[in-house]
Amino acid sequence: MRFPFILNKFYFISAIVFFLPLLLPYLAISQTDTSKEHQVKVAYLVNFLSYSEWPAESILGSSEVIICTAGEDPVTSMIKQVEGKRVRGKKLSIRRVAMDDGASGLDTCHILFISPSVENKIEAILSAVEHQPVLTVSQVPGFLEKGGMINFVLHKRKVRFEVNRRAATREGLKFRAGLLGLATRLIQDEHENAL
Amino acid sequence: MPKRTPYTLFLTILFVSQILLFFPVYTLAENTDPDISFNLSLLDLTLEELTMVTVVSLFEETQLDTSSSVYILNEEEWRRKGARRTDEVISYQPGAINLTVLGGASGFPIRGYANSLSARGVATLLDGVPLNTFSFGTAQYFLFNFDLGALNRVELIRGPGSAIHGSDAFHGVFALQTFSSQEDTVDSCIGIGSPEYSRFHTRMSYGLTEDHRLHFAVGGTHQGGDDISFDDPNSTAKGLRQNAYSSQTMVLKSDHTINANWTSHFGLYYNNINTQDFHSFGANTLGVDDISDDDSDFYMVTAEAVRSLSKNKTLELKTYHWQSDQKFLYEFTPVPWQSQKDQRQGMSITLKQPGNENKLRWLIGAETSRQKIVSAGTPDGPQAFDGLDRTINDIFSEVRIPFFNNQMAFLMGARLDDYSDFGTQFTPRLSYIYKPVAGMALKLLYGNAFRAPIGSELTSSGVFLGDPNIKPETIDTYEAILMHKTENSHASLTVFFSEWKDAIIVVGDDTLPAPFTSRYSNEGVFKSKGVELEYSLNYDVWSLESGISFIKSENEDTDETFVAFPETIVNVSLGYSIPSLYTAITFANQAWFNVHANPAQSSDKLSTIWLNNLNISYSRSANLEFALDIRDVFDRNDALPSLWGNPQGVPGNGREFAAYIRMKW
Repeated sequence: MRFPFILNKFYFISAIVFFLPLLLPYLAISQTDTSKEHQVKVAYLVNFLSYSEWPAESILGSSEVIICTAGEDPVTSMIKQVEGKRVRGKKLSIRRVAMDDGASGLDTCHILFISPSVENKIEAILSAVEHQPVLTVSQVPGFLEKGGMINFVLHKRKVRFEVNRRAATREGLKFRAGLLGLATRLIQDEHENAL
Repeated sequence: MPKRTPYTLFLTILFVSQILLFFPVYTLAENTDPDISFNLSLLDLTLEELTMVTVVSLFEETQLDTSSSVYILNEEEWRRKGARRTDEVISYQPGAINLTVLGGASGFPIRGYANSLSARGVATLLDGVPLNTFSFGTAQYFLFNFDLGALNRVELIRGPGSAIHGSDAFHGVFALQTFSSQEDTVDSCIGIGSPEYSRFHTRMSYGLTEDHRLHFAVGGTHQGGDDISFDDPNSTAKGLRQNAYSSQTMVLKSDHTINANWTSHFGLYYNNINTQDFHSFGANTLGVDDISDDDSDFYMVTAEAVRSLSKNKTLELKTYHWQSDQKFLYEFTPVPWQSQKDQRQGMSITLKQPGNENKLRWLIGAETSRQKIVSAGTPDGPQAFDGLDRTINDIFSEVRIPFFNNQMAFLMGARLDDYSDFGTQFTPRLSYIYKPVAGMALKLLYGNAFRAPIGSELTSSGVFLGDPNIKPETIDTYEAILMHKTENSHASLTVFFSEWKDAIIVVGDDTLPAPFTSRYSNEGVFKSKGVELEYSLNYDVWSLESGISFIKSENEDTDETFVAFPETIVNVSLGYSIPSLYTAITFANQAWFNVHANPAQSSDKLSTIWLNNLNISYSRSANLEFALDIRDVFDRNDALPSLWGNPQGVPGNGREFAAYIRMKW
């Protein structure tokens, strides 16, 4: 059987695999991650501010609302671009929490987004914000079961979220019905269901 | 000097690539904060509006991580390309075609290898349940149209899948996922067209309580007489074929959240197909009028329970039972019909830790199933494979190990099947995935697959004599894939090589006693190699989907090529939206080059085959859409290859029209 030139070379496959990796770093120069999924998650984080209520002493006296991020991923990189925007009359401030100094400064956060890159430290981070009115958000399976409050999930090619109302109530946070009604899964106590 | 085998070549590639790939890994490691832009207009959306944003415009998130050549079709794509039947969608991917084989049923030649048994060797799964029969090793004889309105999506895998799906996932996998929704919804579609074509479907999802949801879909298709004339110059076979069919589909599923840890799922499925006057085994095989009909019923019930365990592990328990009742009718006096009733029951248990992509993922499972040919007969009495049954016990495992924050990953999988009739079969797979930056992946894949001999091959069927000592056929496939994906585009280059051993084929033999004319036999080593390119783009009001394949496959012993498979396939679909008119136009094309009328080397070469569909849709509102399809716009009426040997191929249907109304209630 006579193959066309492109298929007839014995080392054709070898050559493709051999040389392409060398080109990858150059191809990467033009590569940007503008994934809409991550953009939607950032928009959600900002939107949660309008659908959540903090204890009065936590937010009223402040001129800014603070979104903290722990770990590194496209969401934590992208969210820096909303710094300075105004939500509910307050300026948005974005802070990155250093994980190498015991995650200090978490008590000043209003929202804390925990990246999957620090999934192995989630329990420690959640312990650090225990008894603090900090809305914890992540995108890790089982986050709510660990005590987290809102967890992003992908459902039918859309970003949705699940809510642990019980954990939020424990820290003095309240969610508006509009947010609770959109949750794909809701963890709450019996008496909350009646409210 | 030792002979260089594909296996050693693959290992060499793997080793060399390892060394090379480490360099870019470390040079790129410093680039931890790529230029990531945020669309500020998203901040203007309400929470409710955000839940409606589709975040993956064309592709699933896992496409870069998938260790197979996978093509995922959703409802929008098969609508725009004018699909009427389920089996048509397999040819939307590069390197695969569908050709009708018998009674209107289809065979799926993938990456070359088009022969008379191409209906076998592709595993059909319905919601994960394997449907290929013990009688004939295919589900396409009784399920070539499971109404598209009852489906959410179709996954097509080119290449081996036995390490996951066992026997029959040999050349590929054809996985159908039926309708379900997490929101209350009711929608319907009715269509009418030529030749005497009509279809409908209605489906709904309804939450009975917060923890209990029902999904229901019913659909039907009818196509009347086509009056396609055929005339075989080498025999007396001539006449009219109607290519008429009707099918009905029904699916009822229920999801139930029992508590925080347990969920359960139940499903009932039914499908019926009747066809009339399609082509048959070909005048050369039977020497008579080349016409056959198909009459099939299919029933299935499934139950599944999923337990969430600690540390993100899940335990899945699944059981199923299905039955197909299928009959072919021929214009052939010695065997005017043959029928077979197949059953399969199975149960499986799978423990897995999906985790996230930066973590170790693994799964382990076991399955037991029983295949039984309840009955198989002809007017002369039971067929030789009537009453055959076999038990299959298998264990399988898979592990995905990521390195360097998932820039590199190894995936290893293996499955051990124990068949009660011929023993054990081990199938491994190995994958290496390298992602230097977000959106790009280089994959090196190796997969082994097998197909267990089926009842008709072990005994006999009609004019085909089987062999009780026939062995499973196996195939080794090596693939290198470079994939690049952005928010609105996707590109991939695949180079593959496969070697098919102990191939089970039909061999003509004049020395056999009547009524046998041919016998099944493990003969020869077949090889296939080729290149597949895919490119898709969404830009403003334009969309483009394209795929090109260059494939050569041959019988190494005889140097004969599989000439009934096109050497080159070009798929191009161009879409244009006119938002001000709420209108979208799609022109989908498939062109097949260098293909013969049938698998015989001496057969005539067909002229270039150009299949096309023009789709125009108008959205009157979010809940009401009108659409028009025109197939074979230029009325070329191109003949397609005949896998059973018609000298002129199978005549096409010519230009056809269909108009649809889709409503959401």
